[in-house]
Amino acid sequence: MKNSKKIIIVEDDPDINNLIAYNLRKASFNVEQVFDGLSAEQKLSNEYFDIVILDIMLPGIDGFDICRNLKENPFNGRNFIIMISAKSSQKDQLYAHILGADAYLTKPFSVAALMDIVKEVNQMQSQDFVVTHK
Amino acid sequence: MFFLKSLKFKLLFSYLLVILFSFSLATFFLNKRLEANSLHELKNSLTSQALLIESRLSSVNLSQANAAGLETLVKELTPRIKARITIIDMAGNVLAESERPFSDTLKMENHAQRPEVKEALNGVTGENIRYSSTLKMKMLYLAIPIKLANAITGVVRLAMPLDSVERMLFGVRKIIYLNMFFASILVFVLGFIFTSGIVNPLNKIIYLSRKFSVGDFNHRIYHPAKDEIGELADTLNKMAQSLEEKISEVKLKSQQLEAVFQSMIEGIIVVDKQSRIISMNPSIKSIFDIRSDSSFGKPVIEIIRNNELAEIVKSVLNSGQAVSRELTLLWPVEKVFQVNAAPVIEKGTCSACLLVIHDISEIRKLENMRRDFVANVSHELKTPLTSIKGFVETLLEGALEDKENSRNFLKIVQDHANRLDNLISDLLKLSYLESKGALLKKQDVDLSKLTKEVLVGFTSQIRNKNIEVENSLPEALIAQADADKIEQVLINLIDNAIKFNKERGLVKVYSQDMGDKIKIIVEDSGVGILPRDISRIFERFYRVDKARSRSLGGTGLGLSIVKHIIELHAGNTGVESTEGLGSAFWFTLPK
Repeated sequence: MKNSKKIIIVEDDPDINNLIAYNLRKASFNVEQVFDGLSAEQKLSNEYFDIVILDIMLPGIDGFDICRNLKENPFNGRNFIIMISAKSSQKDQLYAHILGADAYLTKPFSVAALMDIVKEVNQMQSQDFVVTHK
Repeated sequence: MFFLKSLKFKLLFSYLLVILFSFSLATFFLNKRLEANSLHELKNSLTSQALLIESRLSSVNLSQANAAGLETLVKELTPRIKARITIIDMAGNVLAESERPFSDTLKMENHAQRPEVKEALNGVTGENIRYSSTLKMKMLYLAIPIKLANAITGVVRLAMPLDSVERMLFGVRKIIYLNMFFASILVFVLGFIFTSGIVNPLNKIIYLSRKFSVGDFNHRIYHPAKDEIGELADTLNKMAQSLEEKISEVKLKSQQLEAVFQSMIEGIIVVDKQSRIISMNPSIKSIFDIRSDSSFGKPVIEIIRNNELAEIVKSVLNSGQAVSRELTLLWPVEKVFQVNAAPVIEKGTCSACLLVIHDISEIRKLENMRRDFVANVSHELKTPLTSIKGFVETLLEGALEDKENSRNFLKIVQDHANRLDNLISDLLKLSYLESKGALLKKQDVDLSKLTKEVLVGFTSQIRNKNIEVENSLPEALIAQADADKIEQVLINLIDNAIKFNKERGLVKVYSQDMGDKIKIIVEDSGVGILPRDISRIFERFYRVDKARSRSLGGTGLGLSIVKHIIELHAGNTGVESTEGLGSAFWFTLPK
């Protein structure tokens, strides 16, 4: 079956970016890859993605800022934001949550866990995100 | 006028007064008593003489008719009686007179009204002192009645001039006055000497006490006499001694405090109740870059324009409670300070505020660096681990069958495992260098030879990139260093010079003689470094181009290791670079 959800991967490490992209594409998702904060901002302000997989430590604009901007000025609807970061402290996770991130995975994360979240989101309607993840 | 108020004058004057008063009193009473005594004597003698004459006259006929007879008798008595004799009858007529010739006697006026005669006629002894117009002098008159069988028949009067008494009294007075004069002179001289003995040491004491009062303790009062003044002098000397000791003690203490104040690294400001600066130490001037000395007396807010600081001062001055706070200043300097403000309590009230300002920017910076380093290490370790874990998971989940990608994935896993290996080994090197346990095995190191050996290790990389290497180090370039560590430095620098170079680029290694040091320069013709990156290039995990560095297998710790090793050798590191043309990293080592 062809999955209709559009996913963007914002991750500066090319290997990790490619890794996620490979797995998502294998699950038949429509995947877009960006490698820095600025390109991510541009892309996200012009196009709607159902799921945003977002690294925090990015060159240019960091993941927290992208998350905040996206929640404040969403382009044509709410995005489901999955943060992936080497930052593992409670403080960072809470901060991400306050900014509106819907899920938080700490590196090194399990690809299976990421895929589970993506697949779950795929089952839902966009507006249900809030209900499920709050 | 001062002389009249002085102790000397008062003492002398009182002595004189005592002399004058006692002499006057003596003169007065002596005069009176002598006069009375002489008169009494005179009267007694006159009375007895008068009685003698009376006894001769009692049987004589006292009448004017017998005047001639009486005259003869009187003349006869006169040489024996040293007084003027007058014989008067009951009617008051003078019958005989010793001092007048007989011819005048009967012509003399009636004596009945003379006081002494009047009394004698009444039957008692009469006496009177008066001025005699006859003899022109003061006379004592004494008259007694002449009795015959208890009937008064006449009066015999004796008169004697009083000038002998007067003369005697005058003589006595003269002696007294003379004595008084000499006594006064003596009193004046002795008094002067004696009062000088009191007043002069007192003046000296006053003079020296004035010196003491202005802090001059170089002199002592000399007064060996064991009297009250001597005691006063001793007490004053002791007081001066203890004052001098106390003052020098206080001076020493304040000097010590001043030295502490001047040399403390912490900035200190003392402000008064109106928040005006009373004093501050050199540290505070260097912290806030205060150049002028005119800041004294100005409100603290004018010198350090920070509201929070001004509020701290205000709250301490108002409440009298010490305040300790961390303060972040952006102006006039961008720094973090620990401010301790304590009140200066004087007589129960807060009279000033002492501010101790400790610059903790460096401590904070180090703390931040450490925190950043930990965060960086964790990030740097987790990133390759994520790839390894992710790709292995993906391979196991079926990608192994994906012939197209599986080999590539394994290659990525291998790369990241290597990266982790490099990273961990660099971290260990750095940690070892930082632990200070790193003892240098210093020896003569031939830098030229060492560089050649290092370059041999890079042969394949040099060939792959067609790099031209120009090693112009002179033969036997000896430095005092740890060979293994300097080899690491050369490896890191040459590795960078090749990695960040362009194809067919140039790597130059050369030296400069810096006197007691050798400067080694590793120059490349690579991309160069932007000025904003130059200051941070030696920081741990600082990478100008993260992606590029990682793709080249860099850990971000190479230059940091270089810097540490060179610092252990008491050398310096640095870089000069022009963007697009290349960079020249250098380090110095002691010869």
